[in-house]
Amino acid sequence: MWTHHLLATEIFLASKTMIRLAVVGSNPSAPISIFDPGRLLRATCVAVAHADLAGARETATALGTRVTFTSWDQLVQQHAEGFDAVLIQAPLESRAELVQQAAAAGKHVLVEGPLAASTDLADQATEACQAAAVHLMVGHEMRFLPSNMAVAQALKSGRLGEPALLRIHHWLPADTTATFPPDPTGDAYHAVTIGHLAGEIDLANWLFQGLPTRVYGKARSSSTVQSDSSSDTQLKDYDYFQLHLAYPCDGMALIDRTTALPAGANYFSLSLIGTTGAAYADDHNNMHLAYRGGPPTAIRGVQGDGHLLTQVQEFVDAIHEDRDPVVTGRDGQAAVRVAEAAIESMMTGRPVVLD
Amino acid sequence: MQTVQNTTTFRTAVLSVVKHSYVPLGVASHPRFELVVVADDDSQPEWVHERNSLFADQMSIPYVRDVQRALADYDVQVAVVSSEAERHCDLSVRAAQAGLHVVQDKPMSTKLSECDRLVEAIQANQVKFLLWNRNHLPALIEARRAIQDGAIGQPYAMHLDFYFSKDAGPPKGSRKPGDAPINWLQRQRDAHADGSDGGVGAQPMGELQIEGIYPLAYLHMLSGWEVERVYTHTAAQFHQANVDNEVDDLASVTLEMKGGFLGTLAIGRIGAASHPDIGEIKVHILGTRGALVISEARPEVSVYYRGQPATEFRNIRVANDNDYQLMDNFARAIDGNGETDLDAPTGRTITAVVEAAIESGRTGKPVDVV
Repeated sequence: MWTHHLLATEIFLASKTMIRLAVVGSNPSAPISIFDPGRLLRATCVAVAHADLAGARETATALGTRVTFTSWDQLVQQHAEGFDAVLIQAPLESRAELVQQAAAAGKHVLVEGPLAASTDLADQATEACQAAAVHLMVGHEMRFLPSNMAVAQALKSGRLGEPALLRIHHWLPADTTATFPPDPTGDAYHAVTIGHLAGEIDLANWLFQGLPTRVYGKARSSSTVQSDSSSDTQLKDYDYFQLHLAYPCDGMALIDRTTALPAGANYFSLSLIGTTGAAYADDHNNMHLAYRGGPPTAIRGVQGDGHLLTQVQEFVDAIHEDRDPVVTGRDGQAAVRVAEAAIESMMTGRPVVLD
Repeated sequence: MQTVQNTTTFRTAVLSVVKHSYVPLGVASHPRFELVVVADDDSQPEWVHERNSLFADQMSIPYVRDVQRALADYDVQVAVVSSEAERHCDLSVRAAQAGLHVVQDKPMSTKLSECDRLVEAIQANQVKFLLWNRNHLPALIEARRAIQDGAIGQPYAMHLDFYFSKDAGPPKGSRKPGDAPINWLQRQRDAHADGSDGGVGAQPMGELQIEGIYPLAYLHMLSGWEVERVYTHTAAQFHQANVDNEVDDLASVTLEMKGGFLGTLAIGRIGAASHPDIGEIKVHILGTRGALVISEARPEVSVYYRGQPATEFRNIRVANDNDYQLMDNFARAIDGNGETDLDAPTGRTITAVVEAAIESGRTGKPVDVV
């Protein structure tokens, strides 16, 4: 009862200072702004900026505001005093620059993951936020999935001992919304590959509470079954990746990710073998069955979009409490760095040692 | 036209049965195989003779402390070998040289050179060889059928989880200052009662070496892919015996196959607390038109009751016909209908993959399979 009373009091006091959020950009494949604004505590959405005005209005309506702008520049020039923090959802190539601009404007930043298209850009974004004394959170949303949070909580409680072997399968249908520049360069494919890998890498780094010491990566195209991937150094062809990571204290992780499932549902499985226990968060174990003649069809028990609200709430809470969010800029930079090492390993056929 | 089934019975000698008796009992589950004698070399230590003798008594058959004499005197056509791992191949070679078909427990050997010697003996004597495996478990049969039916198109990646949630003596970190390291063989002998003596022998073996045959046999059966290169991390995370004897109880392996196919293996003896049953054993397969997620344990039935011992599995596997199907395959091979499900060359190839994986774990570098 006492705890409940304290919590209610805190909420009452906090409501005096709402964080005003502006949403910048739109990215259907990484919907950082899909959450019920009515359930957000101590924050409110006040503006949306996006080049496509119709899209901006649609997002704004969903978030309970009618204030829209067609660019970041317009938002800052006309409404700088009207918001405290930004949620950035933008193509990977422009994310780091937007983060730096937001920091320069003195705004706290939640940017969808990965943080940047390269380690250098991630460093620059992180340092800009540090210099401006604003909070930077990277939206690696998989950390907030209820199943992954349950695994992390079990690990944190000590019941599983030390993490020993992490296994992640993440299979998705082809992303039909992915677009490349008209004349894509190697850098564009490099960025796309980082986009494929960074989320799962961040999840692994988080559970192991650190960076891997060695990275071994393999990749291939699912459509050229008979090809020899080791002789193919074209990232553009790859839609299947597998990573093998070594962590301190003999920890290890296996991650495989494909974007070549047939259209429809995705599949996610995470198992964590600890030194005194294990946790299994596997879509396979959460299936319902439908009988419609012939073999039954599996219907996955979904976890919903609640994790996106949890993610934004964490960002808001970190600002209120003036603390680091659970996914910092350094975490985002680390995920990009490991992804780059994985790409190097895929290209060279050798494990990459990280300092 | 009705098929005439061959009903010839094969008289079978059990050559050493120091580990679990599941292999000779599996052989005996098929009506065409009759266990008639247990035999071993007289020079073996007394504990070996005790176990052999005990099994012989259980089966009401004689125990002969002379392998060559038993093979000569009991008119046997088949030998089943379930000795310490380092003696597997030697006993199998001697049986093959005597003209016997051979069923052998895993691992094939602790040395690749011994596997080579066995492959040669099997071929030279034109006998059949079956390395014991789990390929006929219902889930694996379903997986194979789905692939053959084209349910997922052409597979291009396969991931194998093979965790045994068993303990293996004192946990890691339990050795006190001044305590002697755990003697591997003694620990395995002590473990016989609870069935966790899969690594019985004088030479310490990690989980890759003890159990790696099973998931790698799945890979072979389901895909036919040839592993060319491996990259491995190994660790001793759970059991003091593994720490003291410098062998893994946990390993992860990247598998690179001929044709650009890819895969991984996660394997470990991860402790009884880590799973309610024997362990998480799964196969994940990606294909050009879909994917398969297979749990090796299924079908199973869940049973819970008041006072249930903590060590009792809550989920009981059912419809498991693996033993009979393996031996039926073996009988048909002897009858002249092709090779066994896991013949000597394939067993040798799998042993080479395991050896390369261990080497990779030791060096931290990818290793080519030879």
